[in-house]
Amino acid sequence: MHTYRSALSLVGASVPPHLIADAEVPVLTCPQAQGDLLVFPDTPPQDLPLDWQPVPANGIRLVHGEATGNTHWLHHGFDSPGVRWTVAESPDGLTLGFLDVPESQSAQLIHTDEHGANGIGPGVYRINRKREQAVGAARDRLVAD
Amino acid sequence: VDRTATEFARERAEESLRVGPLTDAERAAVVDGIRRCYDNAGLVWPDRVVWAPSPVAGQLIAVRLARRHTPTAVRVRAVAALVRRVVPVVVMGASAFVPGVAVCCAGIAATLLVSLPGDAIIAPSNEVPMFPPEHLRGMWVAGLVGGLAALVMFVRALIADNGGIGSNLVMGVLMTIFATVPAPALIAEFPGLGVSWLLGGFAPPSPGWVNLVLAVGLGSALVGAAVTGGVVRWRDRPPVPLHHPDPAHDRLVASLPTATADDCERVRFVTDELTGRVDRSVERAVQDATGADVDVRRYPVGHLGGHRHTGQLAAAARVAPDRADVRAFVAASRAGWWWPHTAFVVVGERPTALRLERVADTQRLHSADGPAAEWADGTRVYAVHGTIVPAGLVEEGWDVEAIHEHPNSEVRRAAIELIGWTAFIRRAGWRLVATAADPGNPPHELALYEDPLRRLPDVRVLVMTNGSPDRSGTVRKHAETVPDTFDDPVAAAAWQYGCPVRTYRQLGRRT
Repeated sequence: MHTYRSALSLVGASVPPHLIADAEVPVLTCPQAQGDLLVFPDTPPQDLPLDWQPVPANGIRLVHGEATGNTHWLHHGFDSPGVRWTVAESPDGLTLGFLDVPESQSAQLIHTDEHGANGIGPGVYRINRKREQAVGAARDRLVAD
Repeated sequence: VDRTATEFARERAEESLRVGPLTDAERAAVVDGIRRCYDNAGLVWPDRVVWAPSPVAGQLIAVRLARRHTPTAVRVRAVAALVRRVVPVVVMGASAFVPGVAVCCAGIAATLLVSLPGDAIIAPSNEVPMFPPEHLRGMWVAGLVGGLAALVMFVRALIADNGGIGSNLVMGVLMTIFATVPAPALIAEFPGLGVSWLLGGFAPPSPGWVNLVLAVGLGSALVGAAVTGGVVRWRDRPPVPLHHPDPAHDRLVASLPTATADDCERVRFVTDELTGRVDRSVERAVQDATGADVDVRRYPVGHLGGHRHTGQLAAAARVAPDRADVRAFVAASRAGWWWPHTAFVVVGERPTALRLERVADTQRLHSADGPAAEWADGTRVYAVHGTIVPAGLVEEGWDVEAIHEHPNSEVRRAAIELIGWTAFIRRAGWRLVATAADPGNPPHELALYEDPLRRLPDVRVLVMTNGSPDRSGTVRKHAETVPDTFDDPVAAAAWQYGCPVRTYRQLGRRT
């Protein structure tokens, strides 16, 4: 089981002082939100060409907020070499891709700052960004923290 | 993604957004670069370089010089060409309007002449008229007014039809007779009759009076019709204004080096993302500051060195850094924008300060407490998250009323973001629509607000609480906009993430 300390050490970040370093990161299979990202169980559409790749040991950078320098990283958990990821951008720009976590394995979604870490249990998930309604502008805008 | 291509693009972007004055040697290198660009484009080097302290100053200096370098003969020819374009516009408008009015007036006049006593085209009838004749004058005047008003409505449709004069004449007559023009004329006659009746007591008009009224009324109606037709037509299709373009800018743009390798696309894309928004904001501010200037429209001089070429140039510099044309343009772009003309070159200084904000992989102007861009001559551009805003918003701050009064919705949004949505909805008296438990984030709630006065169309605001404390240890509340179609805060939150509401309700954890 990962703690904040062990999870954040995956991305080379230290635990922000306000988070409890040794608190366990629960591994869940239900939808979870991490700031402006949402991970929820969903199967990819049939007609979408997918390119499943194993999540590398040094992780995948999902969203990099250059304003804050913070990043959402996707890592595989302990003893979880089968965790796969595929990029699948949706027309509305919300979907980043899909995550496949095999039985008895896990994945970690880690934020380099305030949002800490989320453990993800077996299943297939869609990972979406967040948007807000445009005021005056022509289209909805993506939110990045 | 090739890291080096991205790195290269970032360096190019940084280079093009550099601030502070140039040294004399750097200025000489810039001018030399521009000279080589002229050579490569096959243009004669004008050997007249004017430095401008800011893009606004540069734009104005360039158009003033362009005007000075436009020979009088060329200007006279342009005025003659303009007159040649104006005459048909006015004639077409008049020809569409006059026949309709003429038919309308003639019809009403003839009808009334027959019934009025005194001098008439046809001998007076012996029959007793239905109304005392003196009241028919009021009827006639009102009928004329009603008919004209209706014609104004129809003439637009007529003018939109791009026929010749002949078809205009025919259409005008047909429309008057068969369209609804005579109806308002007839309808208007009755209130006129009524008014005349109520005022009463007029003696029967003399033949001279009737003739005078007919002549003045019909004459002015026809003149009015011609003028109105001309004006309407002019507004619909204004003739192209006086315009003296110079070929140097287009020639130089055509000579810009291009590159097409895969790697280049990446370089171009990343450079554009990092510089494009910044430059577009500056361009917008320059347009706002100079757009009303007559010379800017009449003697346009386009600039180089802006966002339209930065990415293209960076891509070319990636592939062929040593090619002569690439080196020339890269050297020329080390200052600010430059305005090429066959008779001179205006080169803009770099800004003295740029305050930028990075969002994802893009960059934009942003400063909440002062100008976002500044030049040595005092030119200042204020921007909030990339939106150009009036100086007063940043320097003094606006209250809620001032925000709502601003006509531009982008500026309104920027102003609201400056004080924050949470504070804004409180100050502006927004109404709570509903609250709901925040899934995965107990014990917090989601709250949905709306503006009872609907001053911002299509928008409601969702106030939520962060899943984790920030570094100061406080759990922050923040607010984001959602479509006004949602009444349920949870449905609005699910929309934000593009997730079915049912799934969103099962949210187990928010961090």
